[in-house]
Amino acid sequence: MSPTSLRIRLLGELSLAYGATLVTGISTGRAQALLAYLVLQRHAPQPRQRLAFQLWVDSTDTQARTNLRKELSYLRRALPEVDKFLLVDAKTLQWHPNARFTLDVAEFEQALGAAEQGTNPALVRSALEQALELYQGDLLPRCEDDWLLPERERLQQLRIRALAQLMDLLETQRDYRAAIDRAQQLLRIDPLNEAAYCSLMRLQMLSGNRANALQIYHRCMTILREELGVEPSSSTRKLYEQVLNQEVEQSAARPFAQLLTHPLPTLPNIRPKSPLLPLIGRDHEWLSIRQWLLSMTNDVASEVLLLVGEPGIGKTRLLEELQQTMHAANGHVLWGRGFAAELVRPYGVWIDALRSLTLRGSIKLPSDLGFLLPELGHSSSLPPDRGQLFDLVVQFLTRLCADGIPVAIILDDIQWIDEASSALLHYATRLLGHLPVLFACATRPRELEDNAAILRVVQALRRERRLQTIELHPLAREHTAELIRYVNPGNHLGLSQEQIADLVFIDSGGNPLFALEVARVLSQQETHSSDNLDALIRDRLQQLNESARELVPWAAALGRSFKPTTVAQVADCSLTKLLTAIEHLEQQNIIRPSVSLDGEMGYDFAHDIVRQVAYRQLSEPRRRLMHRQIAHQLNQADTPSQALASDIAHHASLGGDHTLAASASLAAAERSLKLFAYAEAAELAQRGIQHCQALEGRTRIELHLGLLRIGAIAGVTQERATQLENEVHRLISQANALGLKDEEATGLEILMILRFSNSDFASVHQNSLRVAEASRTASPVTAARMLASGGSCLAEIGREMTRAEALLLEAQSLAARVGLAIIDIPCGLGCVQRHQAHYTEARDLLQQAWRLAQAQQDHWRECTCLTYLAMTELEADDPAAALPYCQEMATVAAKMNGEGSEAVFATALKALASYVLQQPGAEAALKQAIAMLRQVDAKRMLSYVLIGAAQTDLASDRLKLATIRAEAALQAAQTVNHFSEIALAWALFIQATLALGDRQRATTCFEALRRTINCQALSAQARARFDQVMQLMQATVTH
Amino acid sequence: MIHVVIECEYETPFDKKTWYEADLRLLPCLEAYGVKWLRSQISVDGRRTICEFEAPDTEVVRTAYRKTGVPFKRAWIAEVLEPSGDLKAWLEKPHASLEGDLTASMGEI
Repeated sequence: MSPTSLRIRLLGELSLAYGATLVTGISTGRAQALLAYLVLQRHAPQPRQRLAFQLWVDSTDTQARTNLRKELSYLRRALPEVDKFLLVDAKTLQWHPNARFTLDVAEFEQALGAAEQGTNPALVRSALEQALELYQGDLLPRCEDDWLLPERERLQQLRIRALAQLMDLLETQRDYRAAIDRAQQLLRIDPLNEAAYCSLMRLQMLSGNRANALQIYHRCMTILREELGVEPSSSTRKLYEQVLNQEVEQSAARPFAQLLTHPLPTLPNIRPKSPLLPLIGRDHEWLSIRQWLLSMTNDVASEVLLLVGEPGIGKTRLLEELQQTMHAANGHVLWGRGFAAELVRPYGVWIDALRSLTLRGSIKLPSDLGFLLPELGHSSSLPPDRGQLFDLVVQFLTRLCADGIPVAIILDDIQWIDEASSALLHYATRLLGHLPVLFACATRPRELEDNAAILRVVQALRRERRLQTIELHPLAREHTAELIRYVNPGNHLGLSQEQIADLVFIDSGGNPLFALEVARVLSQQETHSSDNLDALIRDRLQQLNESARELVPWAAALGRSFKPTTVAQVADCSLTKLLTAIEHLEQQNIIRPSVSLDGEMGYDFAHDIVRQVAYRQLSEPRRRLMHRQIAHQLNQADTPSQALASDIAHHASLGGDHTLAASASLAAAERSLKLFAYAEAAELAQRGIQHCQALEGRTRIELHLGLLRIGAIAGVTQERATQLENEVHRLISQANALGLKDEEATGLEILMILRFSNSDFASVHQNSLRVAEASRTASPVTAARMLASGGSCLAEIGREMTRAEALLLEAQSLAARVGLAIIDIPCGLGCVQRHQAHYTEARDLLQQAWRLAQAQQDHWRECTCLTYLAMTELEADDPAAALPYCQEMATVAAKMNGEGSEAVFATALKALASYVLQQPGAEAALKQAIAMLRQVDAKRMLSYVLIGAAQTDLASDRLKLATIRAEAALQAAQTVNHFSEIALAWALFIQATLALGDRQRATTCFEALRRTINCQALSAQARARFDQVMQLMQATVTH
Repeated sequence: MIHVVIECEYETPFDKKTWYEADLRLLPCLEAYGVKWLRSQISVDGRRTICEFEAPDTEVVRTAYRKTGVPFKRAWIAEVLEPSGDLKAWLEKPHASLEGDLTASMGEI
């Protein structure tokens, strides 16, 4: 295992970390200055006398030397393993030349050096961004020593130069939004930089913000006059005049609406230039995507776009086209991708997608997402449950699209995304459907079938008709030929263009990736003998230069997009050498820039097939060694948030390091639990347990029990719980035999968790508060119950029905994991269906809930289900079918303890049904029921019954009574703020008033209703009634 | 908004942990229904509690109790009298009896 490294930061406040531990002892200003001096002057021994003089300029020589001894002694105590870092003798001090450490100042200069030498714009950008990210503040800002000031000034100038360089580069890349951010950043630190004002003016103009550009000129003029007493230079004034006359070239960026209303055939003209190949042979698919984009401007909820096709068929290319279109419209794009190696990384694809937003430098992610993105600062308060975690992401996306800015969430290779990511995707698609937020995904068809979690989401979206699938087929011959003509492979075989096209088409079968590989070979060799894609890619990898060939296996073994610094670390090569190799690989189209990772430009293979081929080339023993080394290096670099634990577990497992694999699995599973990613936690625990079999003694028992504990909290079915209990009893005996008290206690805790998880919610109190607390925050059983309770509360009172349904479906998915049946779920979903007037579906769900309640002998819920069933029949115009439910409800209510309203509800609904059916004596029974509802003070039910009665009165021409009942219903509904019943009662009152001939009053009431009402929040029944009244009122006006 | 009182009785003295756990289940549900918990009084023998809420109606409080499995004896609407209040004015004011309201409204609807 590699020795631990010391990380020193001098830019901003001084900070030291040794491995994952913060070094906090160096707190005095002089000790910090001494450390900084030694580190910055590390290349030569420093005489004690000079040091003492530099650090204590006002002291006598003797006093200064005494002070130095004292501070040195502090430093020696504070630094871990001090002899590895300090060389001390009688006359000199020196930072150890072989010390294993990193220094932000050195990394900053190294990144600037890489940017200086780089020729590839993407690499230069990445290096500059990395340098600026490292510059967290001025060099030791609180130290005012004379020796330090020139160095601080030098670094400040380097930073300003880097900012200006990056700003120019971004402008040439037409990333104006990011360039503007950098220009503003530059002006904040250097407010007299006239050149920066000019750049900012030009950038604002290029982004179409002429007014902003003019304002910037005035700001520049004012500050130069006030601070320096000079006027802007002639070139700045000239630019100002150009802006006034609108002479600066307009950019490709246009408002989204304008982009969409642009006629389709001209769309390519307004897309920015790009290094991508043109979109060939996909006109039909792109047209469908354009039409799908247009749905964002409609009122209807948008559909999720799913591109389906074999590897290499062009899914990613279409997603990139969509990304460019969104950027050209100044929209936001979140781009994430699934990786085969990452099925247990909770929210992996979302983490990458959120980070991708920062790649363009324009968005700052809020710190409340810190639980997903540790680089935002450690989030002290995790969301209390999975629903609230999802809500934080949804709320961020909602804020992102404020002011109508379109947002596209693009997720590639979703066949490899984890369960938690799938659940969040489903949740977000539901809640953001009516906002300008679009979801576009791509998948391989066969692999999708193997990922149950995402398959469920896709099936649900399809069932709900919220999925637009586009299947990508191989290119036609003429399109393959067009693609080949574009790359112009050259001709060593003496064949005509047509013959080459035929050859490529036959060999590739119209698969664009395959076709390009065949064409590439034809351009380099006189013959090509390979008839499969793998062989062609293998040949291409063989032709790379040496440094690139060294890098490829490491990148392939990492299994996902990678940061150059990570590869440098695991492959133990210098960053400069690595950046050269990356540049070569990028030129050869083996890798390409990917999402930003921890503020650093990430890279990924140009296609996953390339990664697979590179990986398959490695021999089994070499793979194992590489994975083992990666695991160990990542283990060194992991932070206290243990964000890398699942990666470490993955690589340790493939590297055959069972102890590290088991312990990292445990850490990763614990992290998954904190993020309510139960499936991932359970899977990681299971994998860790497999590694425990190879361990011995206390380590085995400790890790095995720890992993079983996570498995138990993550939730198990009753059947599995019994097996687990046996396993735990066996381990407890072993722990007991070895005298391992702590492990024995863990075993007992697992038994309690298992019993708690499979007990009834109402009997929580029988368990200790400690277990209840532990499980409350983590167990899917409790999480499912909480989500179900929250969702059904909303559904039953007819509020936020989209959110209610999303919560209930999420509860359903969690409950299914542990084989749990929760009455609130079908009951709440039944209410959602009833709200939408889907009575058949509502009946099925409510009956299912009723059967569950009967089985669980939950009488109150039995009554609730029966109430909703009776209401469903009344609303479906079948009052006779409501009567048996009322009868059953009365029977169940009689069995209940305490003073409840259930019997009254039964009587009231029965009276209403009889009244609608015009049965003898119904009128008196109804009056009596209304009085009883008032007595128990149940305003929602009172309003419901009064509305039902008023509808019957209106239909039977008892108009006066209808107005009285509707008005009373309105009053009750307003008290409990029930939107749909308010609208229904109000509409009935207007109808009855109109029928009585009081047009003026009806008109006044209708105007008031129209001002108050929010049609989106109404039930289908209330909306229908409102529409009916609106037509009546319009007819009244016409006549 | 009205003032709702919930009375609970227990066969055996309850323990504080149980009560706390019941609260954890109950309060989010009450909040969803627009109910505000005002205060609770607990008999020293641990056999009776009275909880007061501000709510749109009694039924929502009852529903929240039922839904979260917290048992109760009865629920009623209350008027609050304070020593600092004007008791004389209260005496002279007609009592806001539900019975009176009922009699009046039953005739109409």
